[in-house]
Amino acid sequence: MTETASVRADVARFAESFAALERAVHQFIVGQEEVVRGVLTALFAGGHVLLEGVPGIGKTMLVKTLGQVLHLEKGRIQFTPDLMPADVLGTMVLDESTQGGRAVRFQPGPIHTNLLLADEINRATPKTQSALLEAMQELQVTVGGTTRALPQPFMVLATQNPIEQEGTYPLPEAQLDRFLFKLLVGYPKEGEYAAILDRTTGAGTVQLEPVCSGAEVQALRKLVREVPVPENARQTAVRLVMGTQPGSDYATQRVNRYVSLGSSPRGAQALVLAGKVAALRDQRFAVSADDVKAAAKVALRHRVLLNFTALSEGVKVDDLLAELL
Amino acid sequence: MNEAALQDLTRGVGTAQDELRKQNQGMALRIGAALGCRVLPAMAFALALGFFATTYVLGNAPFSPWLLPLLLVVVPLGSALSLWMAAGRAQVRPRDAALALDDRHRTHDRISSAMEFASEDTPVAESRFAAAAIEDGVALVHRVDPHLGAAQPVAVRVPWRSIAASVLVALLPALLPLPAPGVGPGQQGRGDAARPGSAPSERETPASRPDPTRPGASAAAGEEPGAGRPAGEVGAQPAPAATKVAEAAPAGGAAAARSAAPTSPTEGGGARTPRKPGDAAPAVGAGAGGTGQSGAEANAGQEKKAETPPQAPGRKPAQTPVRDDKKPSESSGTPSGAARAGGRMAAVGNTREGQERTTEREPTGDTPDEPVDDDQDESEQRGGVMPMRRDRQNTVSRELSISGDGPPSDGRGGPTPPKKSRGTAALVLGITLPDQVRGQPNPGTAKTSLEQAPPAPEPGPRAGAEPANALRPPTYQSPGVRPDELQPALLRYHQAVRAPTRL
Repeated sequence: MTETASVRADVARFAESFAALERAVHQFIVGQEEVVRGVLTALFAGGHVLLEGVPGIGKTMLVKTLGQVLHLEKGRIQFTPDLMPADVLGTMVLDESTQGGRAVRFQPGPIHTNLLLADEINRATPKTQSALLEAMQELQVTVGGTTRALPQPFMVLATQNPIEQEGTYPLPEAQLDRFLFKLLVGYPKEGEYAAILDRTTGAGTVQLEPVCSGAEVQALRKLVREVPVPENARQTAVRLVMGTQPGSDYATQRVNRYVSLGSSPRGAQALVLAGKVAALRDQRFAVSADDVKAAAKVALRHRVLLNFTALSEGVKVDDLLAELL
Repeated sequence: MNEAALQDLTRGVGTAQDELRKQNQGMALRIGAALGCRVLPAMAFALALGFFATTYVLGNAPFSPWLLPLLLVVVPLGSALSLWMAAGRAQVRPRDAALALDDRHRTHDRISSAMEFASEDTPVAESRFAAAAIEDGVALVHRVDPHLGAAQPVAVRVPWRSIAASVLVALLPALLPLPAPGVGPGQQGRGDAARPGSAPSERETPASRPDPTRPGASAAAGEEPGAGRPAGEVGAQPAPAATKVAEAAPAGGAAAARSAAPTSPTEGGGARTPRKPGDAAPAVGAGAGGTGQSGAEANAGQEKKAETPPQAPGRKPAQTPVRDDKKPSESSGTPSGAARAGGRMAAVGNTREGQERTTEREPTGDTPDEPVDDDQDESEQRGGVMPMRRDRQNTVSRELSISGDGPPSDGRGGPTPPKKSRGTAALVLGITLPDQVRGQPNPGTAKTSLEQAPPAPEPGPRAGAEPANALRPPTYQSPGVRPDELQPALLRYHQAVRAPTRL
């Protein structure tokens, strides 16, 4: 097999796995195509996802379903104001042996898993939220002076409620920046309600079969990193990110007026990684500018901080991003 | 670098390259015309001005002024033509043509990416994915239609208002009466002086032209001072000096001067100048009358200013305007009536102190009255009893965060910046801390807690609900379960205890 043929086979395998995962998830999740595609894109790009939506639209179910079809270990933390970092990362406990001796043992927290659902992440204090920083960026946790690597693949899917902001702790920019995508989970369409009711209130249960394993996910992640990025796509990503930074050459008038803090270079990284996954999904061998543009809203909307003028005038980040596109 | 693939791709996009150059030329034509239309008003003004200047210098019009609007056509035409020629000379890169072809066929930059990877020597361009991309691009460029198709029209808005205004400006020389050949503009009547066509002639002064005795010239120049200079300044000087002032005055003031011209020579500042028949004085008077009474007031003010003796530097007059300016702001927070002298008045009335202060504060002219001393003095006399608004400090900020925008909240309500809690930068987790026992010098036992113990189901028989039987032997849930060999004896004991008593 020649080199090009092997690449074609790898790309075809990626596209097939992606499509199979989408189909498997949609066996249980009705609708939400963009959300499912975004979560899978983040999974293969090696990023984390922040899901924002009102309660009852299947955010938790999506994570559970994903854990089943990927045959990965999944964990869940319900974030509350009294949750402590040790409840997330784990702690050292004094263990008594059968011989009567005592020894300090590390009791791993729920973060030591493959797919972690951080439910209502904005309800925990910043102290607890910051416990996730190292885990999300470095894929490791440090407890008691010992650094422990997290199992791979590791992915955090955090949810937050956009309405009930009273008594919550909005995620700081450093935390938000670590999420590859911010996906807005909306209400189902009218035609989807029937399927939802049938699947959730009937006697029958949907049996989900694992589509690919954690090792396969890791292999496909490496494949994503190999995709080259031509100059046009790279330039598009850079200009989009710089366009969100007020005062830059590519910022529009509305960006200069309404944006307080623009995207960091992590935004450009997210755009390029999302473009690579999109290229492989479409069985192409290089990223295009259209791939980068398609990921602009989900990759940049949580990295742009609006000022008070924008909030008072009801300006949305997505509108500003649409102008840049 | 993949030379063969690069040549193949370049040939494939050759047609698109030619079409792109033509499209660029068409676009340049439109943009050039639009740019030309944008500068049209300025050009029209320059043309009209030049026409007037030429007419003035030559003594007659070089050509009919009705031709000026036609000359304006040259501007957008020339601009469009120059840009068109520049676009025609510019080379279109094959990669740009490939990008245009990708856009046209929506092929996700496959052709342009292949061309880029084929022309580079970087490790990325030599990877197996790049090789596949090049192969894919070469295959694609032969499959797709090499023509770009019709270019997307460039939205160029025709500035009709600007064009109309330009034509009007260009027609001004035709609409306005031109100066007669051989006759200077200064020799025209006062009515002509207000017209734009006479503007260049007004810049001529007796100083620059060695013929100050011409009455017409003096009259034309004498109308100018009313435009922007005080009349007294002009009127106080003799007529030849007044014409010097006219050099700096704008031409537009002539009309105002004409409309506000005084009927009597005593109205303007020129009243001080003795009027001679046939001299330039009436013209000066008319010019001074351009400002009318205000000119006289300005003149009077200037005279007062001139009468005021110069003061020594660093010293202020006895009644400085600084203290007068401060009084309204001070009295804003003080009661009216006797205390309306501002914060200088103490809360408790003390007439003697007020008298003393009055005597102390007699303006001697020797001590400088510094504002800083004033403030300190006022504070001392107030005794800290009466709060002053200007002394008010901002409330102590109780915000615990370093927030984003704007100043911190001053407690006056309104929106505050988005709150961001500080959080903890780092936390050492899992370290067992010694439990300090109060009242004892040494720490007590280590405080540890077992957290996150995963719940595990415990196997066991299902508990069934049944009526309580006193004779039933104890179940496994009873606290003291005996060994099996004791069960029969225990049963007999319970039966014996609960058996009806036989008397």
